[in-house]
Amino acid sequence: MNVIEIKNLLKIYKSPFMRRESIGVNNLVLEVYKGEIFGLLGPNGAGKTTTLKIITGLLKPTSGKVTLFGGVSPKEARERIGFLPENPVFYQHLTGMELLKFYGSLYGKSHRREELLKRLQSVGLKESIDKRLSGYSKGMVQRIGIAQALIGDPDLLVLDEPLSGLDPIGRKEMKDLIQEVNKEGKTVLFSSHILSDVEAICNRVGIIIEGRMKKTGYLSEILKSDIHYTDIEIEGIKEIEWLKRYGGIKREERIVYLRTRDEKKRDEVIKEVIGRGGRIISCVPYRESLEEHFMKTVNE
Amino acid sequence: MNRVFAIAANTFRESVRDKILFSLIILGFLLIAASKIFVPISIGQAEKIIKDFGVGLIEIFGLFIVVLIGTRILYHEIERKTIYSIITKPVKDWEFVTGKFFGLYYLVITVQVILFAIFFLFCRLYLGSFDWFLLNTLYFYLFEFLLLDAVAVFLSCFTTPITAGILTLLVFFIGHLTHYLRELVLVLKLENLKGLMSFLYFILPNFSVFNVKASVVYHHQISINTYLLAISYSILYSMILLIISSVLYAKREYQ
Ligand SMILES: Nc1ncnc2c1ncn2[C@@H]1O[C@H](COP(=O)(O)OP(=O)(O)OP(=O)(O)O)[C@@H](O)[C@H]1O
Ligand SMILES: [Mg+2]
Repeated sequence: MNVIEIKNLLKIYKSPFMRRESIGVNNLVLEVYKGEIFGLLGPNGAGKTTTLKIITGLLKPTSGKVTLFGGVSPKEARERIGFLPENPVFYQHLTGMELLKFYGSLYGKSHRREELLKRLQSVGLKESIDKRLSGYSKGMVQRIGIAQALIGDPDLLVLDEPLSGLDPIGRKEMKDLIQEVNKEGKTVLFSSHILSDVEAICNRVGIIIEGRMKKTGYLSEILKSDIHYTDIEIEGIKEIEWLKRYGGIKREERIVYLRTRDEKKRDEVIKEVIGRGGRIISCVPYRESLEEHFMKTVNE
Repeated sequence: MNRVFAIAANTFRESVRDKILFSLIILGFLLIAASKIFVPISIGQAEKIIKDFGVGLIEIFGLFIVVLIGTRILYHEIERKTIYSIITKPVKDWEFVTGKFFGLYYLVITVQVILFAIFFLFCRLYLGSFDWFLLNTLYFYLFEFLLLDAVAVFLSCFTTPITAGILTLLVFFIGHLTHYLRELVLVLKLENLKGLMSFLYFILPNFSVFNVKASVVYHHQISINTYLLAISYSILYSMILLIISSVLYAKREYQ
């Protein structure tokens, strides 16, 4: 059973004057498996927010099918979803504690103070619990945003750019928190621009471009299936012409740099260098980073 | 029902913390106190004028709260996007609409009761006694503003706050007059307008059922039926409006 299943999703935004239309997502396909952390990537205006708003029922699809938890609609699934909106805004007149208490009461049960304190502590807001939100910084708002998304103990956490507005420490804490709640069994779907963060915590990623899902898959698969190369630094070889058989070369004084794209050739060249009395200074295999992969997909 | 209450309490709390409630009460106090300047005690009718002025003022305050704040409470949540973290929780559309409705109603009632208390003190100080019969108007105001609150929430489900505000004012004034207008049309035999007047009379809320000011000021007996009509009319009509509002609201998207 997939936690999220989206087929042929189309969302057209109509302006109130009906003359101008813009496409939010187009023929989008998405599957999120139970228990995973799924990262939604895409440039500005790609359709990430649109997708997440449809999953949480804030927007209605123009056409297409969205099924959650193996058979319910977004509105029916609200009890089981925690949502952090993009650039969230919360009631300025409440303190952090009051805000969580209020959101908690929307689940029809009252939460004990200790319970809420623990939640606030887990997002790093212990000191500001009795401060009004009007005095919160952007990062603090983002933290209370995560806390309110977790308040109903949801099975699925939908986070629209959870790492934006956080300092490096905050980013680290947020990533740890996401992984922690994921270990508790919650499925997480989040969007981001920060590829290194996605790379660090996601099991699978999807790349959205101009409203379409261009690529989905396990990070290890996406990145492995793409060409990588090895840079070898060689010393103590006078004659270098023969090296060209193995790849491109560049000479800087006594050192020769060789870039080879074939793993077999790599082993051969190392043997030959040593056989000819040379030395290998370093041998660094380059895997494509998510960032390079992303840029390539965008430019395709 | 818990959720309705939580949303209502939060709405009320917001107006208290934003000092809206406080400013309204101060303003009301100043206006009631100002009536002393305009009404010299020597005039024989001073007492009647002050009573008229006091209860009229308290009504206008109710009207202003509903028109200025009531037509914005839904819009405000959408505009600020605070609605995103409400409606994505297990809150039904009708619970949200009803919660906002009652939040506004708490505010109206609170202001009305406090202004009546101020008016009471003022009468004791200035006239020497408070006419307890005036409390009848409070009863009728409470149901008048319940209905007007529902009208404002209903209108703001499909128009902008400004339009909803103007329409609410119109509904209030025409609703107070339809009764007379219909009779006028009948008496003057204006055949062309008859249809329109009957339509307005039956569709628009009839606010004259809450209008007992004359009886109160002149101490006329108010029949039990008048009390019962006010409460049942107000509750029934408001419920219908809230149901329609919830249905309209459920169709909404949050772009
Ligand atoms: N309220 C709206 N009205 C009209 N068009 C919209 C609206 N919201 C989004 N769009 C359009 O839909 C497309 C997708 O927008 P969306 O907000 O989903 O992108 P995004 O991937 O979240 O971008 P970002 O990274 O900037 O947050 C954009 O082309 C945008 O112009
Ligand atoms: Mg976005």
